Amino acid sequence: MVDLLSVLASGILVGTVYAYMAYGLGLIYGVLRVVNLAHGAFLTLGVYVTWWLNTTFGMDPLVSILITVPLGFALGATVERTLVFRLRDSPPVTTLLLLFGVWLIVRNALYLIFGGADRSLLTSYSLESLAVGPLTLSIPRLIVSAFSLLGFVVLALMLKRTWSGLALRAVAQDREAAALSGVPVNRVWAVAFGIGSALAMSAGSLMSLFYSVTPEFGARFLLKSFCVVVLGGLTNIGGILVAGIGLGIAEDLTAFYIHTGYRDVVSFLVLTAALVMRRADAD
Amino acid sequence: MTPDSRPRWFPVLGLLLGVGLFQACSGGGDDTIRIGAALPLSGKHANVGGFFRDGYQLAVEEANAAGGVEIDGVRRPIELRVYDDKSDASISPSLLERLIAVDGAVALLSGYSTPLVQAQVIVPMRRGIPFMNAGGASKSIFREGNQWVFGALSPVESLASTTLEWLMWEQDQDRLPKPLRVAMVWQNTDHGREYRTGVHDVIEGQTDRFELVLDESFEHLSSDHTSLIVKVRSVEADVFLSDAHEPDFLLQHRAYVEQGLGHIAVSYGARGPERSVREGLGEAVSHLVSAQWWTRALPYERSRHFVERYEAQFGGPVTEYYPAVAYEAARALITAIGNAGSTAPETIRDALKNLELDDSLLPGGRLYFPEESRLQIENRCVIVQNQPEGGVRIVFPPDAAEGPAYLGS
Repeated sequence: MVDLLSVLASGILVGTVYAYMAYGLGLIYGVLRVVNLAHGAFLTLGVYVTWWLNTTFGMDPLVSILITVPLGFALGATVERTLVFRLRDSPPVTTLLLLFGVWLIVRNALYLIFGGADRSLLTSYSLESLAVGPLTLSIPRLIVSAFSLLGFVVLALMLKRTWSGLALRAVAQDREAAALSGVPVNRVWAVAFGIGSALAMSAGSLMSLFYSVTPEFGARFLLKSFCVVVLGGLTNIGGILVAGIGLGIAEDLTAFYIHTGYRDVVSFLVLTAALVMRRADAD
Repeated sequence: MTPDSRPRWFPVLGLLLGVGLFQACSGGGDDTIRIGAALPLSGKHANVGGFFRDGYQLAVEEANAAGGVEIDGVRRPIELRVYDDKSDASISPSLLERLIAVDGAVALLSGYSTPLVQAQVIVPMRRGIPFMNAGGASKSIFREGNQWVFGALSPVESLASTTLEWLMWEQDQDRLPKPLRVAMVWQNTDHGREYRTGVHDVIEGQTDRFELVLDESFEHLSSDHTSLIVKVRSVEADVFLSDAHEPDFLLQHRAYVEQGLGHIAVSYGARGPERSVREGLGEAVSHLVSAQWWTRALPYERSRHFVERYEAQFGGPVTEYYPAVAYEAARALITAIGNAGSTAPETIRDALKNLELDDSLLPGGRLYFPEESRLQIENRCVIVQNQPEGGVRIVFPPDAAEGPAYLGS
């Protein structure tokens, strides 16, 4: 029983990490209808900026979020204004390739600057855990889970209670109607890309608490982010949170009760099933 | 003479002159003996690639300081030519082709990492050029009928078998119980599968000493290891063995510590002494046991000599095995060229087959390339244990041990 509870708790904690790293991807797709292959680049930039701030200035990764969020927003909005915007009426595959190119440039730039070695962060709480009854919960993972839930609440409130959120939802529902109603669509696109990138970079900051930092970091998690977004409903932030947690639990239960080697197979099976079901619904 | 009446052999003469000039520029016309390597000097293995270049360079400099090698009664210098394959297995083979065809390399040294070396070995086997491998331990590199690829790194299986030999030695000292309950997890790669084979080969003949209570693989770059560690906890083993590359090792041992596990002995294959590991996990890596292909404290004259030379030239304590095995591989190749007394590939190959360095810095003190293991050395590794204050201590084999191992409860 303790083992089952441990596995469930681990699945929930891992799942909230999945959700946090996927919020930005979902938001950008929802508003721009663009599959952001540069998402992996922003995740990777997040871990590198955090690692660099920690090793250079001793800055705690949690504090570094105060830098990665605005930096991510600025970089994301710049990418949208200078690159994505120019291709907005092109076929989707063009934007896809463009953003893939952005990712490759960032990855290779990081190789050039930092090399390819695995690097890690060590803080005073990196290896701490909290005993809750018979369970032992990792403090860094609890922190990331708290941020994931906080991110969901802030994002949900922003989308529902602010004018910017209303504009984002309006453009997501019908770009032309939103434009006719006076919504500055171009600015909304930049804001959406900026917020999505800021979320990705802050997710990278938090993930540096337990994952090693390499230029391939984004590649490791991009597919998982896609799984969560597809499963959660592409534009539904609440759905993404639930999907992330569901995927985390499914993976951990599979790893524990069937075989650890099948852990990642779960993601692919879920992705395939979700796509097939969505296709069936569409038909 | 009008332009139309120029002799037809003019273009041929021009071509020959061009080739001659090119040969002269590339050094092919002098008496230098050229050896080459395609190393990952950028990309994901850049840091290790640098260690290999330094190790190779040191061996070449030593050989040249001693007057080079004697070919046909004339002493000739060795030149090492290195290209950067950017850690890309699709680039590496073409660089080796270039080393052979353009630079005139008479023998090759390997790059680093099993996938890169697997891609490289196709070239020397097809071209019939001696290839000295110090960067990939997997047996899959050494194919049936192999005549050209020589391995200075013992197989991955040796990591596992030496670790179990150490455990048996501790049992014989009455410091460990019999049978010992072993939980083993391994990365689902060639490296991990061979580690598993090494464990099974020993355990199957020692059922009174070992009971394998968990034998499970995990995927490379897994996003979480907590459920696997919970599984390890549930089997209540005495010893925990894992074979993982660094990113998985860091995540797995983090989960191990977070879940509050403790075993008599914990080993992650060759992982543990690296500086990056201590930077990432701090004191949590104290007392980890690892099997190494070399460590600086080995009590051999050649090993001490290497440490002094390397640290004098490159600075800082040498904490990784990479430059040492690279140095030894290059030294073996240069010695074989000298023994061959010729730069003909077949002659160098035969000299390598007959080579036996009795002053090797590798564990066991001997470097050789046995035919029965497809020209891959089969030495035992050395077992070291991380110390709480930093650094490592050799705990096995007994003739090299610096002290007893700390065993958990």
